[in-house]
Amino acid sequence: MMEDAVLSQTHLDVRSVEPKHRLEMIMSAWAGLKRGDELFLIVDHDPKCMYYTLVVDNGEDAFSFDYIENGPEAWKVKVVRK
Amino acid sequence: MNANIKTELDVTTLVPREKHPTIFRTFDSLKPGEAFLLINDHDPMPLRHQFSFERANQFEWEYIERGPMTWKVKLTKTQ
Repeated sequence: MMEDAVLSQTHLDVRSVEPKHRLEMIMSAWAGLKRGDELFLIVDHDPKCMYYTLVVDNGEDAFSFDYIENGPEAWKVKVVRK
Repeated sequence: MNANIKTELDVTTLVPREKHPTIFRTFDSLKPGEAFLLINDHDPMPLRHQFSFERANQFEWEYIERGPMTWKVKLTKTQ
């Protein structure tokens, strides 16, 4: 039986989440990604600290991180697990 | 480096998009050898990573308090 490659998209809007709970939520979502899965992250600030955290934890080749929306009120990034 | 703390910055009162820019502005306004005290309601580790990339070799990071309710970090500008 052929295995189907199922690529998932997760949309995570943390704007209404208290800042102290956000990191764990985002890292949880990242941990659930398989290769090729996409995580869309919506935040009320530039999420580059999340980019750096992912680089430190996983290496910069482990993912792509692209801005879809770049403020000034909302930021949206597309994270793809490689 | 045993720098004097020049100012305290409690970022829990700032809107999210102002937090990191204000922190970096505060840091950049220091003279070498000066420090400020960052006060937050959770471990600012992602900020530490940002400093290690954007202000590499220019800072010292010392936890003064590590929760559970309050984190305080002494951020020193070393050069």
